[in-house]
Amino acid sequence: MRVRLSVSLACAAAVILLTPGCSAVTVQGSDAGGDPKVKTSGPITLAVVPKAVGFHFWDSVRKGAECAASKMTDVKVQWDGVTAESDVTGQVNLLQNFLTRQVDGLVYAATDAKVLAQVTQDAQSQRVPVINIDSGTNPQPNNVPLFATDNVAAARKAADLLADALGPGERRVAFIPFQPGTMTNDQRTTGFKEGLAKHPNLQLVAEQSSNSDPNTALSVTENILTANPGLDGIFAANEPGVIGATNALNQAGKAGKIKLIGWDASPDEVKGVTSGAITALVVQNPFRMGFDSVNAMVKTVRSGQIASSKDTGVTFVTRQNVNDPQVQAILKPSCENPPA
Amino acid sequence: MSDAWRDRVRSAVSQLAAAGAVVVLFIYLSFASGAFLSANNLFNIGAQSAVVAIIAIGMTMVIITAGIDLSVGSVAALSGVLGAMMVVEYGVRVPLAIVGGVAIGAIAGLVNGLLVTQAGMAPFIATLGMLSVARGLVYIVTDSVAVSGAPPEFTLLGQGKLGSLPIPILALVVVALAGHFVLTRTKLGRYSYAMGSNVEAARLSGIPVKRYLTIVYIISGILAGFGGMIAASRVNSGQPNFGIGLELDVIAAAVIGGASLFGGEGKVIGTLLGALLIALIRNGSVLLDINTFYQQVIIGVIIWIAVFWDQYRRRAASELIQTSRKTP
Amino acid sequence: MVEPVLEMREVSKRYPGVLAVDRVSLTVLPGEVHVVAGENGAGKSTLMKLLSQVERPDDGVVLVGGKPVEFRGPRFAQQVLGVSMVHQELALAPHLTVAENLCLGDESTRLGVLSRRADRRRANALLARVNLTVDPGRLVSTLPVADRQRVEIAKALNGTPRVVIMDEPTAMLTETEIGDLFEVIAELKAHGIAIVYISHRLDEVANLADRVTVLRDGRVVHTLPSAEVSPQRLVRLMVGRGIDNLYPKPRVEIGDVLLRAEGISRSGRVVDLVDCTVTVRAGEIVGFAGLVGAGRTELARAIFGADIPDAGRVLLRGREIRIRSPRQGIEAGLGYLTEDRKGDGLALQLPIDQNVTLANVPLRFGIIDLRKERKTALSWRDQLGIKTPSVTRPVRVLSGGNQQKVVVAKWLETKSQVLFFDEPARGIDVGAKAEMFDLIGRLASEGRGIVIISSYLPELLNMCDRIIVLRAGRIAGELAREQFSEERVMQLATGSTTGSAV
Repeated sequence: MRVRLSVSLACAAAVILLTPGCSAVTVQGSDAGGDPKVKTSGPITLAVVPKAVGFHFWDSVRKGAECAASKMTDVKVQWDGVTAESDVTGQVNLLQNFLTRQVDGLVYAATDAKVLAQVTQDAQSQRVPVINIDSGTNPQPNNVPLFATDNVAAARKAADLLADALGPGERRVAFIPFQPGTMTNDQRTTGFKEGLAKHPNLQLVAEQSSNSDPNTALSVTENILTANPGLDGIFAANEPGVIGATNALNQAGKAGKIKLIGWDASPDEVKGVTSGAITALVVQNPFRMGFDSVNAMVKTVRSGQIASSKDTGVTFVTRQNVNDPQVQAILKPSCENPPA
Repeated sequence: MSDAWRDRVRSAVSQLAAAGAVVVLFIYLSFASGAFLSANNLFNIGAQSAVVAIIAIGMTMVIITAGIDLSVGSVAALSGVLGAMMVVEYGVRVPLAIVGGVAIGAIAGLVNGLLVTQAGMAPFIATLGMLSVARGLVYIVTDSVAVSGAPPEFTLLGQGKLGSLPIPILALVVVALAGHFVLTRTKLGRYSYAMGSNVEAARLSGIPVKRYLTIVYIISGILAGFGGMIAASRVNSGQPNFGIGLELDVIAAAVIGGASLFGGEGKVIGTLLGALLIALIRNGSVLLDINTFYQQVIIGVIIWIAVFWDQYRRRAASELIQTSRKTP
Repeated sequence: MVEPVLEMREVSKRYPGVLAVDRVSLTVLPGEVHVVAGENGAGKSTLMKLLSQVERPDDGVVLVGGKPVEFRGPRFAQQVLGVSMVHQELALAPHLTVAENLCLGDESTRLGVLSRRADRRRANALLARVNLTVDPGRLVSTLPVADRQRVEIAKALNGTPRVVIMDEPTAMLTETEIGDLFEVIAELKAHGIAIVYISHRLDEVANLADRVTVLRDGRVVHTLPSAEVSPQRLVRLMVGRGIDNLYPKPRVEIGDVLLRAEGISRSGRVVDLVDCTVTVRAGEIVGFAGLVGAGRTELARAIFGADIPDAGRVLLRGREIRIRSPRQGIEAGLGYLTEDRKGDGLALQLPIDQNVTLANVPLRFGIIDLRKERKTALSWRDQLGIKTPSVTRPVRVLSGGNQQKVVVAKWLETKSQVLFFDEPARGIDVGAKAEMFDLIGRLASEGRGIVIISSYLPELLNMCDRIIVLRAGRIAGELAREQFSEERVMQLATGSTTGSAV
C-alpha cells in the first residue's frame, strides 16, 4: 500500500510540475518510478538491444523493428548489442548508456534475468518506458510487457516432433544446448526434458553444450556420434548448434538417417530442411518480435498506453511446409511481406 | 653416457609433462570408452585439434620472442568470413579465396608487428587492440550474419579427405613440420629464441630485431588466417562469432607444451602435444558425457600442472648441471 | 675477550647434489669488519643467506649474542635478532619512494591508516646514519646507484642492528663512491655494529678488514687477522694455488691505425658525448678511464653502432665506414662486449653453441648448418678454455668467467678486428680474471685492436698501452704507458689539479 501511495504521490507531483502524462494513463500498478513520459508529437528515438549481435535470429528482430519504424513518421530505431550473449555487464553498460542519452523508449532482450532487472528499474525511475523481447527480467514489473516465444512450450513440442520422426521403439537421442545458465537455454532445456518424459521410449544418451560456437558444436556432435554409434536423434537448441550438428551429420554420412530437430531459421538451416538433413526446425517469429515491440513502444510513448505481454509464437518448419507462403513469410521476413 | 646426449634427453624431458598427460589420458580413454580407439574417432580428434594447433604454432613463435598475440581468434574469424564472402558474393575461386583469407591474416599480423616494433607498444596491448578491431570489422562486413551459401568445394579444406586422412590433419602436419624447421634450422627461428631470451643481446649481436619481430607477428597472423579458413570450411560458412576466446585455448596449448611466457623457450612438438591434450580432454568428456563446465576446470588444472612441472624440471636440471660443474 | 655478537658452529647447507656450505664455523665480534672472501661458488652467498635466515641450515647452530637462535625467516633475523643484509643486486622497489622503501613491511600507522609523516621522520633519521641527504619522498628509481645502495644500507639499519651483511657492495661504485661507503662503514663500526663483508677485491680486503675468512668449496680455509693479509696470500688461499701475475700483458709490436673515430658527439640520457676522437692501433690495448657517468660506455656504444651518434665519423684502416646499427658495426669488424653480460650480452636460455654463433649464424643454402655450428663452438671452447663438457648446455649454467669467454668467442667468430671490453673482469673469479686478461693480451698480440673500459684502475694501468680519460662526455686527456700513474688518471678524470682524493 505504501508503495502504491508514494507512486501516486510521485505521479501527482509530476502532473503538477511537468507533464500532462499521468492523467492520460490508465494507471496500472507500477512497481517503481514514475509512469512513462508521454511525447505526443515530435521525433522519438527508441533503443532496441538484442542479447547479442551476430546471429540470424537477432538480425530478423532488427529487420522487424526497423520495418515498424519505417512505417511511422518521426520514429527512429537505434540498434546496438554486445557480441556475446554471456557478456551481461557489457549489456548493462550499453543499456545505461542509452538511458544517459535519453532515448524515449527501451526495447531489449535480457541476457540475465536478475541482473537486468536493475536496468529496467533505472529506466523506470527515469520514466523511460521498457519493453522486453525474447527474454524478460526477474522480477518482471507488470508495466513492462514481454514479447517472447514461450520457450518451454516450444521445446516440449520439439521433443514431440522428435518422437514422431523416430516412431515407436527404443530410441537414443542427444541434446545440444548452447549456453547453460542463460534463461532461454534453460527454458528450452526444461521444455525438452519435460517433453522427453512423455516419450519413455526416447533415452537421452548425451547432453553437451555448443557454447554457441558452430565449430564447437561440430566437434561435440562428432564426438557424440563416436560415443553413441546407435544414435537415432538429436535436438540442437539454437542456430550455431544446428549448423555444427548438420555439418557433422553430413560428414559422417548420417544426414537424414539420424533425425535432427533444430531451432531458428538461418539460410543454412533452411537449406538443411530442404535437403533432408534437418527433420524439423522450431522457428520463432523474431521479425514479429521486433515489429510488434516497436509498434507497442511507440504507442506507449505517444499515448502512455502500456501494452500487455504476448507470446509471439513458433512455427514448425518441415520439408513439407517449407514452401508455404506463410512459412516463407516467416523464414524470409521483409517489410513488404511481413509474417503474420 | 655422453654429455651431449644427456643434454638432449634433458631437453626432451621438457615436453614430458604434456606427453605424459597425453599418454595417460589416451590409455585411460581406451579403457573407459569402447568408441575411443576407432580410427574414425582418432581422425576426428586430429581434425578437431587442427585449428587450435595450427594457430598455436604461430603463437608459439610469438611467445618464444617473449610476446603474445591475443588477436588470433578475431583474426581467424575475420579471415573466415572474408574468405567465405569472396566465394559467396564475389565468385572468387575457392583456392584463391583461401589465399585471400590467409592474406588478410597476414595483414593483421603486419599491423600487430608494426604496432609492436615501430610504435613501441607492448605486444599485449597492441594485439588486444587488434582483437577488438578485427572482431568489429567482422561484424561490420557481415552485418553480424553468418556468410553462407558457398559451393561444395569450399568444404574441401575442412571436411575433405586424402584417402582416409582428413585434410585438416594433413594441413597441420605440413604446418608443424614447416614450423619446426623454421624454429630449429633458420635464422628467423634462431633469432626468435635469441630475441625472447635477451632482446638487447640480440640487437647488439647485429640482429635486425624490428624486422624479425614483425615477421613473427605476420606468421602468427597468417596461421590465424589459415586456421580461420579451415574452421569456416568445416562448417561451410563464415561465422562472425567464431573464435571468441580461442586465443586462450591457443595460448594454453603453447604453455602446456612448455613455451615460457617470459620468452626464449618453446617447441612445435610441445605445442602440438598441448593442443592434442586439449582436444583429447574435450573428446573424452563427450565420450564419457561429462558436463562442459568440468572440462574447463580440467583444462585449467592441466595448465597449472604443466607449468609447475616445467619449472620444477628446469630447476632440477640446472642444479644437476651446476653440481657436475663442481666436480669435473 | 669480547663476546662474539654472532657465531656459527659447524653449519652446513646442502642443495640437491651440492654441499654448498660444509661445516662452517665463524665468529663475528661487535664493531669489527669481517671480510668473507672466496671465489664464485665457494659458498659465500649461501653462507650469507644462512646468516640472514633466507635459507634454513641443514645442520649446525647459529648463535646471536651467545644464545642459539631458531630459524624464522629474514624478517625475524632483522627485526628481532638485528642481523640484516644489503643485497648485491639492490633489493629496493624502484617505483616506491625512499621513505616507503625504508619502512616497507613495517609502516607506521595511525588508527590503521598509513602515516606518511611518521615514515618520513623515520626515513630521515635512517638516512642521516648513512650520510645521505636526499628527499625521502623521491622515487628510488630516480636515484643514482650509489645513493640507492646507501638507501639499502639505511634500510638494513632499521630496528636495532647488530650485524649488517654486505654482499659485494663496491661492485657498482666508482672509486670516490667507494671512499664514501668506507666512511659509512667506519661510522657503523664506531657504533658497535659488526659488518660481514663479502668481496672479490683484494685491495679492499686489506684496507677494510679487521679479520678475513677465506672460503673454498664450501669450507673455511682460514681465518686471519688483517695484519697477516696480503693479496698474494689471499689469492693462494682462495684459488688453492699461487697466481704469479694477475695482469699478464704480452709484449706486442704495435702496428698501423686500425680504428679512428673522429669528433663523435651524441646527446644521451646520462651524459652528452662531445667531440670525442679515439684512435686504436693494431696490437694496441687502449683503456677508457673515467668516473661512472663520464661517458666511457656511451662512447664505445656510439662507435660500435649500438647508439647512433649525432655527429662524427668512423674510419677503419683509413676508410670511412657508415655505422647506423650494431649490424653495420659488426660487418665493419667491430665487437662490443657489454658491461652487463646477463642484461645485454648473452641469451641466457640459449645453449653455448647458439650464443657463440649468434652474430654470425653458419648457413648452408639458407639453412642453419648445425654440424658446423657445433664444430665452431667446440673449437672456441678448446681455444678459449671454456670449462664445459658440452656446448649444448644453456649458457646460464656457466660461471661468470666462462660466460665472458662465450661472449668473446661470439665476437671472434665475427672476425672482429677491434674489440671493446666493457668491464671485462666484473663479477668473475680471481683465477678467471687472470685468464681473461691473458686472453685479452693474446687477442692483441694477434694484431687486433683492444679497448678496455674499467672502473678499476689497476686493470687499466697494468694492461694498457695507452689510457684515454673521459670526463663529462669529453676526452680529458690521453696518457702513454710511460706516463701512467693512478694520480694522473684521477686528476684528468676529476678535473682537479691538486691530485685525487682517492
